[in-house]
Amino acid sequence: MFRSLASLFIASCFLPVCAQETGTLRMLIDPGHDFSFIVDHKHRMQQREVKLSEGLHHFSIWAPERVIVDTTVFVIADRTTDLLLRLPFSADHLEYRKQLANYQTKKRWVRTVPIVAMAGGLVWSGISIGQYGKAKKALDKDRADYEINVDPGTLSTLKGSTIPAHNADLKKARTSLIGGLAFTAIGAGATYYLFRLTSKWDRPLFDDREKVRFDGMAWIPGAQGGILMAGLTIDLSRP
Amino acid sequence: MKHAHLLLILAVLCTTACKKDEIDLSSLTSNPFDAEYNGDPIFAMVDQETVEQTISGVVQQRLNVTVSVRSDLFPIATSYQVRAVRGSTTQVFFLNAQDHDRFVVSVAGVSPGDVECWSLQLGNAGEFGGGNDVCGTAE
Repeated sequence: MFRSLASLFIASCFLPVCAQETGTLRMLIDPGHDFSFIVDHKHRMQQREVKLSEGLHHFSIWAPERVIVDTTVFVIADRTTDLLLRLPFSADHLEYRKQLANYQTKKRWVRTVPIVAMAGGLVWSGISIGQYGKAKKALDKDRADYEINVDPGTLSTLKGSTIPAHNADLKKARTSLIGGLAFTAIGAGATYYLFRLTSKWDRPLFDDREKVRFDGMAWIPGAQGGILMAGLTIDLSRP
Repeated sequence: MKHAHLLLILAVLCTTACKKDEIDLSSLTSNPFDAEYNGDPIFAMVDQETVEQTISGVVQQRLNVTVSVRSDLFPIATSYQVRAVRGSTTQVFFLNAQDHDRFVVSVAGVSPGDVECWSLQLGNAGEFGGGNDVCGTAE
């Protein structure tokens, strides 16, 4: 009995020394998804909570489009610690966003201007058609007036000023209509050409150098010395 | 490209179609009340007679020419005037349906064989339009 109690006492004295106590680290990272981290320059992980032995741990945290942030966290045994961190956008990504915005703005303008010109041409043509119809109607009325009028004075005015004025209106409307149709045709041609041209423009691509750096950071130790992990990125997105 | 062709065709069609709509003023000559009337004669001589008349004891010959008006050429039925000019003499006749579209122009002091002509014009509301000359021969 005595021997058993002595054995239990000895065992209880050694337990805290031998057992490695762990704590939980909860990752509250912005962005809230799709981030990865490497613990202690070795273990690549992609999870929101990680159990670690008590002590100071090094973290390299990265997310697409963000910079790698290196930090150290002290994990306390049997406790959950929150790591609250915002990963800033990388300079490359900011430059890419700027280039993309410029590209999109330029493309939008180059495509919008001829469409607006074509729409303007159509409106112009529409107004001209209206004016043409009005002038033609006035001339038809003049012709009917001439056919039935029995007042030489009125007929003289009709032929001397009214009909020439309406003829001039018709001519002006026709010229305007031809101009409007020509403008519309040019606008349509320009729209077609510029849509084709801009569709061949190269869209800026984002080269995430931070990812390359991050992918090359993992060292997996092994019996023969370990493995340095390197990543190869192939962009399969369509421009 | 298809749309551009369509617009081009539309422009050509419109250009050719629109060109015919203006009124050619030189073709407007069918109304007898128009000063530039260029149709069938409006006035025609239907009768002429030479009569003797005594004025202040002097006997002279007077030529009377009866003229008819082609009111069927009028665009609508209307009352009208006729101005007759012979040399510096101007006569104006006001006619309506009751006159059966006829009136008489005359000249005194003619001799047998004299040909007298009047320039006749159709009018309305104090203005005159188309017309033609009518002549008579004294007997």
